[in-house]
Amino acid sequence: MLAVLILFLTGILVMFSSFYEKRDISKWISLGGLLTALGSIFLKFQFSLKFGAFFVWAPLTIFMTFLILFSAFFLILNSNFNSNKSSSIYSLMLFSLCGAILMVGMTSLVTLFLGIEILSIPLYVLAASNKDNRFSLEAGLKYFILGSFSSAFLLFGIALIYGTFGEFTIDRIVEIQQTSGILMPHYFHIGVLFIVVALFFKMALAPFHFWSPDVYEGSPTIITGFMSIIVKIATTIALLYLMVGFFGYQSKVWMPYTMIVICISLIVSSILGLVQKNPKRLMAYSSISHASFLVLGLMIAVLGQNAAAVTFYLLAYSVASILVFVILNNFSEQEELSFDTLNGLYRHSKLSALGFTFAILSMAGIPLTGGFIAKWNVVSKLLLLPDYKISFIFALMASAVGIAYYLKMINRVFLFEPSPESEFKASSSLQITIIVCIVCLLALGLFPSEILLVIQGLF
Amino acid sequence: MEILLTVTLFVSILAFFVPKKFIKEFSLAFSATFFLFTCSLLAKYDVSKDFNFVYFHEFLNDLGGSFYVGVDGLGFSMVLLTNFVVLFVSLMSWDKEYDASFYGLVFLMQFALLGVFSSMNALLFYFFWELALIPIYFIVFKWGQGDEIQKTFTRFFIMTFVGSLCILAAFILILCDAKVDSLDIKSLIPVSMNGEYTIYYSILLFIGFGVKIPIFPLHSWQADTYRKSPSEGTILLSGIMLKMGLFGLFKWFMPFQNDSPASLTLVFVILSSIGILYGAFIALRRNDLKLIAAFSSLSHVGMIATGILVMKVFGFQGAAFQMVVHGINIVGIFYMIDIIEQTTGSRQLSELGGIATKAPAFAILSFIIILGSIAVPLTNGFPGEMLLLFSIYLYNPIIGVIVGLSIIIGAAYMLRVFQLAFFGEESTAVSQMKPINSVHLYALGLICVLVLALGLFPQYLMDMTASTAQYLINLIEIKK
Repeated sequence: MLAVLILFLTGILVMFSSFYEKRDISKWISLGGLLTALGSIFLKFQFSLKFGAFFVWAPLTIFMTFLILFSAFFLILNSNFNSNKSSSIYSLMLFSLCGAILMVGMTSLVTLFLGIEILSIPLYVLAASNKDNRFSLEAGLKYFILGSFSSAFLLFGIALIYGTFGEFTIDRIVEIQQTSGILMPHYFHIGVLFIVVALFFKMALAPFHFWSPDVYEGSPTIITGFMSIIVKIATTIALLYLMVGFFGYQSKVWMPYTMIVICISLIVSSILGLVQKNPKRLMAYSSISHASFLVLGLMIAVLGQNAAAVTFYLLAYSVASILVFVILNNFSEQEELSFDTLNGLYRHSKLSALGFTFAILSMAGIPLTGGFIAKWNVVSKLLLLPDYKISFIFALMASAVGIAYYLKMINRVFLFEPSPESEFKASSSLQITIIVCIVCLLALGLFPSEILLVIQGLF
Repeated sequence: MEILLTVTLFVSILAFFVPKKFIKEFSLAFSATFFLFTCSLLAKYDVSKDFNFVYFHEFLNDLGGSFYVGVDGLGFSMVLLTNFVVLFVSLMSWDKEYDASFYGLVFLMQFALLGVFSSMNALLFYFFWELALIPIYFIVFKWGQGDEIQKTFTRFFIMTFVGSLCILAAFILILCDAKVDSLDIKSLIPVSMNGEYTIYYSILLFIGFGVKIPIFPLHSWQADTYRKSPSEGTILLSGIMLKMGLFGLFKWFMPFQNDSPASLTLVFVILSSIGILYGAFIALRRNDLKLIAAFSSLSHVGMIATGILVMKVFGFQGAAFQMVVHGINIVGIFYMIDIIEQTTGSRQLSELGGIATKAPAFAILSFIIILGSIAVPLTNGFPGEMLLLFSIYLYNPIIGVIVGLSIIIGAAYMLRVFQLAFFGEESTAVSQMKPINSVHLYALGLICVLVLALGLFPQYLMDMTASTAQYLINLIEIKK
């Protein structure tokens, strides 16, 4: 909770920092704030008690807050916004982070709604922050309209559930269900479905994914990375609380629909991913596929296994995404990113090429990287789900098709000659980021047992 | 074993940073050292044990993995073959200009292959299997020639990758079926399966290994990939990558195969024997030397795969022997083709002719290798081929007879190559032929010595691989 306060105060401070002429000061202030917040999550002294039933500072919250702040730190470290408007961008990012942390520590549906709104509203603005670019404005508007729509769904779902129990707190709702058995009125089930749909929208699972390619493409690259990492972490953990918590008793109701959604997402992301020409759009489809794997991990968590699989997947996914987006962001600010931009990255900077390849291989699930272990953890347990063995086939097929589009990008990096006017300079901050992320990916891939042990301790 | 693995990995990383001037000497020195080192291990090899040079270390044990390596007779001959092929890659590229990264990738490939042939844990096997794909992809793509290389090699990569995923899926199914925690070969094989998924994982494993071998309907990547790869890539692919698939059939397919119904086995056998004839007939009509070699290789490995699949002790023996021999012969043939291409500038049969008068020593050496490849008695091709045919005949006489035809066709296309390329009128390309570097002639000579030596004294290699064959047969008997 201390971290939220620090981030909030830093956000306000950053807003005021635009009065100073000095360039980049807002970036450094926000980085400082992030580091302080990172430090503060290890402190014993937290305010969580004051918030009673709304927020809990559990081990899982600490871990996920760490992951969120870690990702945000590296994204902001490598950002290069124009200095005249950067202060507002950084402060919005910090506010958005507050919402994400609220979501990973929520114990009540009110906090869920608050968190999602605090996370999303700054993001609508951030998506449109590149005011000179029509696509950016389109992205912002699209995200805003569809996002508000999904918020309405969420709110309606919460209202229906409140109508059933007269309670917002997850623990209390679980208790009531335990005492009163599983027979619930239909509007409770509808409420559950509405909440799940709203969160699936945030995770961009098909068929709720239509906004994501456009928004990913239009937003500034760092913001895209921010959306694909932070939002996914926060939403997955919120879903984990909800699904394993009080929806768990109703799993027969929503599980079949969720499986259908997952299968559609895997198919859509594989097929449409193959025909993309823009790396950011491609990452949108790839993130749909990863979101489906995350939800498969949630299924495993619900049906009696442990939630370690999904947590590990989040770790591997976030680190790989940081690498990809940070490197994509470093390409000179030309009008449009396309696959041609990636050509011959190897000639410009060997380290970046290596980092990019590692990230892509991890996303594709090639052994020795974290992505493989993450996928293995999820896929190998799918056969234990009694009624949903079919998802095993879909998951494998999606991985098989996935390699086809990931391979296209790797080909560009190593085997094509760069165009003469392209330029790519790896700054020292980028190099640090790449090295840290590669080390993390390798550690996840080679010593997963130790990391899984830590993760097991969180629950 | 673990020493060899660590050192190859280290050398492969080192090779990326060696300056271009010394890289050839560097790679030749190291590949020769590896080869001699493994040869020296021969002395320590104990035939009576199932697995030699065993090393165990905990690794990924939550997922059923472990770093568990060791070689049986077949595995050790494959390790030898790998080092042999890598040595020849270094020799072959002696005249050419390659970056340091080329040799780095070759050594990385060697590391992965050694891992494949020595891992005794299914997950570790899969790790190395996948790792082997990445360097070869970059090697063939970056140094390949021809039109549409991107399409060809992407198809190659995706087909083999999907094959690997099938293997992974099969391992997961086996893990669920056997209800054990560990994928170590020793804990997996004695367990009797539930049989819930037997058919699925049989088919998945067959597809997975079949893509690599390649077996008939899955071979479509092979010909173009061979044709457009650099010759070094081709000998890596044909000499040793194919053996990965065959080795997988031996070690990771057969132990789980005896529960599956006989009709499924029959389908597998028929599919792989179609490949034998199909490859042979196509090789008869091709003009490009590399394509001929590619299809002849398809035919030969089809024979080996059939020999494994029929589950007879002769078949196992013959297949194990033939895997080594095919590795040697196909390296010889592609080496020969590479020399022809480098010196005359062409590898189309129609543009060649009369090489024998220009380079008589080269012609004699090539002829010996070709004899080995068509399995003439007293060359190394003969014993293995005979055992394989015998086992197929025992399994089903009709298939045995039909498959036997391929030997005749094999002789026909190989002799056609020799006749058209080495005899007859001197063509324009050949008349401008450059002299052959004596390094290459010595290398070919070494292959010829092996061709004759294994033909005259096959028993030594047989003894080594016999333990594997016997081990498998025992396993099948016990489970029955």
